[in-house]
Amino acid sequence: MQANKVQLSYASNPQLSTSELWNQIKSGLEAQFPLRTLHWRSGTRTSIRTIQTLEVDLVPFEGVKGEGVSQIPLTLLDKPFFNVFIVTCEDNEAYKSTVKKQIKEWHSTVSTRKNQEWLIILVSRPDSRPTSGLLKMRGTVLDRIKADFNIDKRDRCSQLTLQEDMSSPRAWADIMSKVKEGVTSAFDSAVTQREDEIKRLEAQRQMPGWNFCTFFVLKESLAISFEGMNLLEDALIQYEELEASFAAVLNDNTSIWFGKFVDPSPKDDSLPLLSVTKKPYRDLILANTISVFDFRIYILAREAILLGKMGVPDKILRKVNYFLSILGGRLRSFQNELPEYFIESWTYSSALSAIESCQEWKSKDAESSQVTKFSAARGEILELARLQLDRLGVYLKYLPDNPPFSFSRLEDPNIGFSSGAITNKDLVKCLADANYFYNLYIKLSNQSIDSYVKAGRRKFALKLHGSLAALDMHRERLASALQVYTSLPAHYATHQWASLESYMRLQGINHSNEAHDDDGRAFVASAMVFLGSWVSDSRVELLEDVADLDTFIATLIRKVFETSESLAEDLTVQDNPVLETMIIESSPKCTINRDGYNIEVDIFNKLPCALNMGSLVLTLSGHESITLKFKSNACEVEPGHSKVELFCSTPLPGHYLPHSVEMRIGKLLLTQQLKPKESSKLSVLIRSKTRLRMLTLPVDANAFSIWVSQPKDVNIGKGAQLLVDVRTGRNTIQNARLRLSSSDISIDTSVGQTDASPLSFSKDGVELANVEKDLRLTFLLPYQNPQGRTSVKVVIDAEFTNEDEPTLTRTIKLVKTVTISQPIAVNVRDFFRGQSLFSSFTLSSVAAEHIRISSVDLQPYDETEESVKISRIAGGSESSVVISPAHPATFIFHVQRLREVKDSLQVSIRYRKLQEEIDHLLEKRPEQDSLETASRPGPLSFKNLVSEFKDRPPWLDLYIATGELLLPGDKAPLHSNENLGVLSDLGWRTFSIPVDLPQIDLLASTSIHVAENPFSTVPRAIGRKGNLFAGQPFTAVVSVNVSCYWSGREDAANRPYRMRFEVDEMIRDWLISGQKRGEFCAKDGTTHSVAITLMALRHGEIPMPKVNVMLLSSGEEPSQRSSTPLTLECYQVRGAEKLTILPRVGKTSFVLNVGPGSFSDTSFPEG
Amino acid sequence: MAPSLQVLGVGYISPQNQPILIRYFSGKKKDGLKFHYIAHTSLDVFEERKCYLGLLYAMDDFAVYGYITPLRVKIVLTIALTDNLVRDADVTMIFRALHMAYYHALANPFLRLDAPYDAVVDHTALLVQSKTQWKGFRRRVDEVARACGVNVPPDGEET
Repeated sequence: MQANKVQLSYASNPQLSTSELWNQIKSGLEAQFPLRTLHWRSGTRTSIRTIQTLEVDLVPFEGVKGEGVSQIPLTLLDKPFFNVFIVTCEDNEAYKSTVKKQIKEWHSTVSTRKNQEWLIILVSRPDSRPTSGLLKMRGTVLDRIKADFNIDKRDRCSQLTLQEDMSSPRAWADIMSKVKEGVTSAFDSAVTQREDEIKRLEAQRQMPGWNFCTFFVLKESLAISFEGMNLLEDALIQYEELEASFAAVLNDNTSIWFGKFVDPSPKDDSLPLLSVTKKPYRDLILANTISVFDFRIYILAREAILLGKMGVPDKILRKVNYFLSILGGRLRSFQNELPEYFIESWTYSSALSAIESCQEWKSKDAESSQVTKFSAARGEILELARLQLDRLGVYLKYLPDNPPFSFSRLEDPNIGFSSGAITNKDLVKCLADANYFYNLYIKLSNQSIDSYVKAGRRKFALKLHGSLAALDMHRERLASALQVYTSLPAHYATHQWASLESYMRLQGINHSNEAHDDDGRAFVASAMVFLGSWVSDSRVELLEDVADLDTFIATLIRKVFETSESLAEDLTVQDNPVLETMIIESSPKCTINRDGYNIEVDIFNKLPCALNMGSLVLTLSGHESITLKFKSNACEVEPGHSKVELFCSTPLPGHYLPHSVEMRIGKLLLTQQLKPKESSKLSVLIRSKTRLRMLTLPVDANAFSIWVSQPKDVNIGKGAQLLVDVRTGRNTIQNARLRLSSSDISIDTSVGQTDASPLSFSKDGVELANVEKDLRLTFLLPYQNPQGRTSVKVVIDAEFTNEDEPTLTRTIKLVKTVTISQPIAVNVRDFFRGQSLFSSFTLSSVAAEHIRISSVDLQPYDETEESVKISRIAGGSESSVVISPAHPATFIFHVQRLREVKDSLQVSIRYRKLQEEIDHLLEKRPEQDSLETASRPGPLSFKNLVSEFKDRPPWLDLYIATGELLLPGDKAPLHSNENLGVLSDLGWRTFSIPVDLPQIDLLASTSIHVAENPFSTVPRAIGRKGNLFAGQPFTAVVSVNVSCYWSGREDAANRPYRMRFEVDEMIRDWLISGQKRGEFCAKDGTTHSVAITLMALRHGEIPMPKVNVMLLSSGEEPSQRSSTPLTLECYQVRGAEKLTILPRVGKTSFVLNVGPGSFSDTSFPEG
Repeated sequence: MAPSLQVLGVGYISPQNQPILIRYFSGKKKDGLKFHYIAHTSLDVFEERKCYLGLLYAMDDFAVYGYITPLRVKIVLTIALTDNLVRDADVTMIFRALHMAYYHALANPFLRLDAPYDAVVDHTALLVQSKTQWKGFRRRVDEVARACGVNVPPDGEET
C-alpha cells in the first residue's frame, strides 16, 4: 500500500471533449499542478497545517471506482477528493436543450459521493462577451448554471476564459482557489470520518474478536493518506501512535495476532533494514502471520521513509541505532531460535544498510549543523556495527575477552542455536579468515572515527583510537600500539581525567618493555608521568589490571631509574609531583666564615623508595634579571620529607623570588617552576599551596662587596667621575677582575685614579691581585655622555678567587643605579650698585631631600689671584642650614673689583644629605646587643626611612631643630652632642660650580630729589626739607648718572650714548609738571639733570616717582657694532626713600550776603 | 523510585570537564574502563546539545542520559537498554536524587580542609582534590542506586 497522490477527476460534455479546444484546456489544467500553499484547518488539531506543495493526479471521471466494497480499508486518497466538469455552451438555448442535462447527469453521480467536492467550469470565449450583452437581461449561461446547481452557499461554478496560453496561472486563478478549498474541505471530512472509525475500533480493544492487525491497517491507511497529502509530521505521528499501541499490545501478552516473535527466513540477517518491499509485509499483516520482528522492522522502515522525506536523515540513524540496540537485546531471549551469530550479523548488516539508505536521503545542500548531526549519528551507528565485530571477535577468539573488547554483554554459550547460518558476506568471510576480520574491524573503526571527527566528537574518536591501539597490542604490533598509547594520555590530561590518562599510560608502559624503540627515553618520560599521577592520587581508578600495585610500582620505579642511568642525553621532566621542593625559610643565612649564603629546603619524596640525587639547584631571581644559584651536594633522598642544605657562593644581598628547582637523578633532570604561572586555574592551587615568598639575602659585612657611587667632591668644571669602592672582606683576594659597563654612559676603565697599588686599569676592566683582607680600595673612573640623565644604571661583572678557596671562582653580576645629578639647585641674581656687586645665591633641594648646607663660598677660580674682594654679607651664620624643597636658603656676597678680572669665580657648596647623617648615626650607634647587629637588615631598611622623609615625620623636625634623633621604636634618643661627635667623621660633600663675574655695559643710576628753591637745582639739604603739603607744588631735580664701570668692553667708556629718560607717572600720588621725558647724550661718568615740578596729590608717605632710562643708540659706527646689543641696567638711588607729605590744614569761610544783589565769594585757603 | 530502570552507572563531571565521581554497579572491576569511556564520551554530546536533559546516546546494550545542574556540574546516568519504555519522569527523578546526593555531600564542611584558601568560588576544586577519598559522596550515590533496585555491593568489597 504505497502512498499515492490526491486524485482529481475531470469530465466534460461531449461538445467540448470532441473539439480541438479540449486538449488545450486539459494541458492547461495539468499545468496548474502541483497545488501550492494549501491551508488545512482541522477540527481535531489545534494548529493550521500548511501544505506547501501537493501533487495531484488527474483522472478521467469514468475511471473512478464506485464506492468501495473491499474489506481492506483503502486510503483516503483512493477516491478523488475533487471532481471537475468542464462544459462549453454557446448560448442559453443550447444550455437549456442539452448542456444542463449533461451536467445534471454528472452532478447526480458526484453529489452522492461522500467526502468529495465538485466544480463546474464553463469555458467561454473572450469574443463572446460583447454579444452576450443582449442576453444580459436573461442572464448568462454561467448565471444559469449557478442557479441550477449551487445548492448551498458555496459557489461551485466558475468560468474559464479562453486565452492564447492556456497554461498561464492567471486564467486558472479563480478555479484553482476553488479547487484548493474543495480539496482541503473534502480531505478534512474524509479524515474526520476515518479518525472516528479508528477511535471506534480502538475503543473495542478489550472486546473479544478485536484484531490488532485490522486496527493497524486502518490506522496506517490514515498515515498513508497524510503522506499523500504531504503532511509528513501527521503521518509520522500515526506511526508513532501505532508503535506505542503495538508495544502496549505486546505487553498485554496477548500476541495472538502475530506469528512467532521472530521467524528467521534464510536471508533475514543481511536484508536491507529500511526497505518496505523486501517482504510482503502488508499481506503478512493482513494474514495475521507477521512476526513481531518483521512487524517492528516494518514500522521502523515506514517511519524512516517519512523522516527521509522530511530531510532529517540524522534522526533516522539515531532511531535505527536505538532500534537495533533494543531489538538486538530482545532477540537474545530467542537466541535458540536463531542461527549462530544471527544477532550480530543482523545488527551489523542493518546498521550499514541504514547508513546506505540515509546517504540517499541526505540532501546535498544540507546546512553544516545538519551535516554535523548526521555525522554524529553515522559515527554512532558505525560504532554499533563495530561493537558487533567486537562481540564476534570474542566469540571467535580473535579478540581477548577483556576491555576494551568485552564491553558488550555476551550470549550464554550453553544456549543452543537453530540450524542455519548467517548470510552477510563480510561476516561469513570473517568466520574463516582472522585477517579479514581484523581489516574489517580497523576499516569500520576508522570510518566511525572519521564520522566522529566530522561531527566534532573528539572524545568518541579517542575511545575508538584506544580500541584500535588495543587491537594492535593484541596483534603484537607493538610499535604502532605504543605510538597511540603515548599520544592518547595528553588528550585525557587536558581535562585531568586522571583515570583514563593513567590507564593509557599504563598500557604504554606495560608494553614498552617489550618494544624498546630507542634507549628508553619514551619509556622513562611516560613512566615518570605515570608515577606522577600515581603519587598525587594513589587510588587511581582503572588500574585493576595490575594485581599487586605496590610491587608493580616498586618494580617500575627501579626500572625507570635504571633505564635513566643509561640514557644517552639528559631527559628533562617538568613539574613532576614525584619530588616536590619547598623553601622553608624566608631568609637564607650568611655562611659562617665564607662568602655566600646557606638555605635549607624541604624535599618531599612521594615515591616509596629512596632516591640518589646527584644535585639540587635552586635558582632565585632578583631585579634586573639577576639570578642566584643555590646548589647542594649529592645526597640520598629518603621517602617522605627530608631537609637539604644548599649553598650559594655569590655574596649578593637583596630581595629575590624563588624561580625554579632542578633535581638531577642520573640522566633524569626533574625541574620544578616556583614562579607562579598566570592564567591557569590549576596554578591558583599550586601557588597557594607552595606560598611563594620573597627571600631576603642579608648583607654580609665581611663579604667581598663592590659599590659604585658618585664621588664626594664634584666639580662641574672638571670631568665627571664614578667612585668605585671595593671591600675585600674576610678573605685575601687572590685575583679579581671587575668589568663596568652601562647602556646610559660610556665608562672608561683604562684610566682610573687611585691611591691603591694593586690595581691595574685596562680597557677590559680593572684587575686586582693579591689584596689583603679587610681592605677597602676606592678608585675613580671617568665617564662621558650622561646626556642630562639624573641617574644611570651601571652593570658590574666581577670574578674573584679567594686565597682560601683557590679553586672556587665566584662571580657577581649586579646592576647599580647611580645618581649622577646633584641634589641642590642654585639660582644666582646679581645686583649692581655703583662700584659694588651683590650676588645672591639661592640654594634649594631638588627631589624631596633634606640637605644640610655647611658652607657656601664664592672665590676666584684661582685662589691666589687677588683681583676681586669678596665678602659674605648674608646667610652666613656660623651653624649649618638645612634646606628642603619648601625651605630654600639664600647667601649674598659683596664683590668689589680690585683690578681687571680675567678668571671666572667659583661657588663651592659643602653639604650632606640628612639621610646620610641618619644612616651614619644608625650605623655608628652604640649597640647593646651584638646579636642585633648581625641580624640588622642592612642598608635596605634605611630606604624605608628615606621614604618617610617625604612626609616629614615629627622625629625629623626634632632632629633638624635640636640634633637629637629619636626614631620610632627607639626608647632613648641619640643626643645631639654625641651625634655631633659621630658626625664629625662623616665628612662633607662638596659641589663646585664655576660662575663668571657678571658684566653690564651701562649702569644708569637715577634719582629725584627736592630742590632747595624753585630756581636752583641744588638738592635741599637733609633736615631742611621743610614741610611739604599735599597740593603744594615744589621743584625737584631728576638726575641720571651713567657709568661703564662694569662693562667688559674696552672702549665703552669713551663713547657717547644717546639715552632717554622717562619719569613714571604715578597718577594717584603725583602731579608732574615739566620735562617728564627727555633725550640726552651720556658719557661714562656724566650726570644729566632736569628740573621738574611735583605736586603731591595726597598726604602720607609717598615714594618718589620712578625714572626709567633706555638706550636709544650706542653711538658706535655701524661697522663696529657688535652682534650683542649693549646691556643697560638702571636703578634708582635710594629708591626706597619716601617723602612725607603733610595734610593741608586750613579752614574755609563762606560769606553769605543776605541783602539784595546777592553773590557768593569763592573760597580761598589760608596759609 | 523507578524500579523499572536498571541503573548501570553514574558519573559526575565538573564544569571544567574533570571527573568528580564515576560509579558503576556491575561489580566487575574490569568494567571500569567502559564507564569512564561512557562518561568521557558523553562530554561530546553535552557539548553538542548545550543544555539538555535526556538521552545522550544509546549503544548496543546501554543508554546514556545526561543532566546539567545549575552550577554546570554534569551528571551522566547509564541505564540498561531494554524494550521497556523509558519515561522521562523516571529518569528525571533519579537525576534529582543524584543531584541532591551531590549537594548533600558537598555541604560537608570538612571537605574544605584540604582546599586552598583562594579557591572559594570554584566549588569543584574541592572535589577534584579529594575525588577518591570522598566516601560520603560515594555512599550517597550508592544509596540512590539501591533505591533504584540495583544490587550495589557494600563499599570496599567489590571484586
